[in-house]
Amino acid sequence: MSVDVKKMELTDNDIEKINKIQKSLDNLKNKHNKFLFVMPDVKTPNASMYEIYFHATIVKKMGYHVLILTDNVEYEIPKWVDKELTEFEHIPMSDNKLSVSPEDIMVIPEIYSNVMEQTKDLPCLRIGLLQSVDYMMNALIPGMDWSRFNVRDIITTSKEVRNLMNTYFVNKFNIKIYNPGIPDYFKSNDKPKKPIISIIGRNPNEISKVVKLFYAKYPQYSWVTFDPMLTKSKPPQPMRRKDFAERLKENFAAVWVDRISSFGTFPLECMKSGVIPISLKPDITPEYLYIRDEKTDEPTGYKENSGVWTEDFYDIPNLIGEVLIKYLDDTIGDDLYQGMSEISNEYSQENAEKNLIDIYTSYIVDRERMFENALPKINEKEEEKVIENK
Amino acid sequence: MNISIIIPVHEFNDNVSHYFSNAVESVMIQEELSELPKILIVHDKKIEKDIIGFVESQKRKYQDKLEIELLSNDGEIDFQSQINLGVEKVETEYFSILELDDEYNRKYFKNVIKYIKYYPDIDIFLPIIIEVDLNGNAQKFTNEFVWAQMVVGENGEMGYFNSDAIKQNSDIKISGSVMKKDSFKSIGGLKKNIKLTFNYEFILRAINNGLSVYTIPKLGYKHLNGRDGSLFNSYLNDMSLPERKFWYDTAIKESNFINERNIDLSKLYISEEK
Repeated sequence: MSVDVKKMELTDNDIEKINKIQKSLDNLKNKHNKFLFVMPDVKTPNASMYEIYFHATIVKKMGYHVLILTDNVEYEIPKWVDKELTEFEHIPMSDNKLSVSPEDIMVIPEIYSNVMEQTKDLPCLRIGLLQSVDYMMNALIPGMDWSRFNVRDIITTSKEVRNLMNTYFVNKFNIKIYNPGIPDYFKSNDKPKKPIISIIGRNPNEISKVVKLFYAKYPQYSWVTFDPMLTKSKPPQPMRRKDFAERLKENFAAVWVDRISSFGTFPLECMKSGVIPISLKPDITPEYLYIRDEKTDEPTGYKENSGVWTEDFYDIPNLIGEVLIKYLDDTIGDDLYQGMSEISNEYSQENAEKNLIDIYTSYIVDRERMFENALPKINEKEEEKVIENK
Repeated sequence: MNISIIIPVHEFNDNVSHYFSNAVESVMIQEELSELPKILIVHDKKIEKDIIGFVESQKRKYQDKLEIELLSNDGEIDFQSQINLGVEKVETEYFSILELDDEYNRKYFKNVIKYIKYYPDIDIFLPIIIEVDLNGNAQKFTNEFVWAQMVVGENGEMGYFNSDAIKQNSDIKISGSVMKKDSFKSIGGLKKNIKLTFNYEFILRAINNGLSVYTIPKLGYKHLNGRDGSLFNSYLNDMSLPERKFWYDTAIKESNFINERNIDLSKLYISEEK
């Protein structure tokens, strides 16, 4: 069989293929390829968009050319993301001049399963960025999954999500995990904290309900203010993340209600800021709450001093009251703040950057290997042709 | 310790002694302090013997830890005059007022020191006071309202008293407060001619004269209501509503003047039905 192959003559088509693969390999090795990050267009601050910009920035620092692909022509760069993270060329996906080569890498967030489908015939590597299982499932029709769109590689943010994926989509995906990083400007200081409670949630009705129930239960604390963490302008606007961090650390506690979160960035921001998170545990338990067995990697319990967590929504107003009383009476133990600091320190941007460099480097290395493996088979034919011509 | 505590005393009996011991104890058990505040008791000369006996018993109890000084006054034994007299004697930058039947929270001065460090420009720190009845049951908070955004107003900074905030709330108490001695004196101290609303008048005057007044958002002080013989208990028992209204209006008016003025009591309507 091998002899037959060697005796095959190279066609122009083969040579063209060789040249193309060689060019792709050269581009990849010389970092002349592109990374394309597809960006959702959500108008309110969200960890999802921030993380995509963060990934894009890390890849840019690695020396690659990065483009941000937007869903619509009128996309506005969000002001609440740090300016240094958004300094990219933003191109609408509908732009006809946009070209994609085999050496390019496209990162598509889970919300865009339609983009995964539309790009399934592109020659580049496409990676699914999975930050929310809920968004992923919302965007899929029953019976479908990303493998049907030739997306096999996934980056996600927790072991819990990976386990879910492996349970329901058995052996379909190669999943890499990284710990998102909380910027260092989320930090605690010794300055006395104010009797103000930040309140963040996905469902405004639930947020309103928590506040009303709290005031109903504790009319004597009607002077305590809940802070929706918006600018004080008229109308109020979402805050830049740095300003958000500055405001957050002034308050003594924060309420978080987000049932569909897959990671839980806000409680970590609180912990890093010395602010006690009072949270409804989401359907997917945040990874940072678990203690895991070193050998089996299975959860063996929950970490202590990670804030205040409940599985009962209607318990939240009571918990706010209990934490408030302790704050006013100054009986909150230092071990709580120490525990929160230890948990959140594991989620530094420095660590996230190292994680992501490893992950994206591994994709590059795999891609290089794939091109290199493709070349010899064709090169052997070329060598044979040269010999025959002699 | 850069803070002294002034305790004004105008009466003494077994009941007072019981509360007074608790008040002193609340100073002695302050936590996380390298040094305890010095206590200055300003008392009516007529009860000097009792006070000396009481202080000796306290010194036996706390030995070297208790630093206490007595200042006897004759004649003007009202709360305001005793405080003014005590301030004259104080040698520290800040002083606090402790009523003999009240108590500090055991972490109060730790917090005060922290707030002084971060807010050195503030002239008057007020605690959130929890007011209790004779059985120790909580009745209400005082001084807390400046932490409500809707009270301090859109442009007001939470925690700070401003004219908007005190227009809406006259229920302010300076017991437990920690003040800069110089700031207190710069606006003339407390006014003895004003009954019932002298706390309110003083804070109004402080604001009018540009002093910075701030509530430390901690339950720093427990105030006892309803004790026979206490000043405010007598006001509550004896004053009619029109009389209270008179003192409220007087406080607003007099807060425009630093100096103590004679109050025109001819306009004071005293109801026959008390």
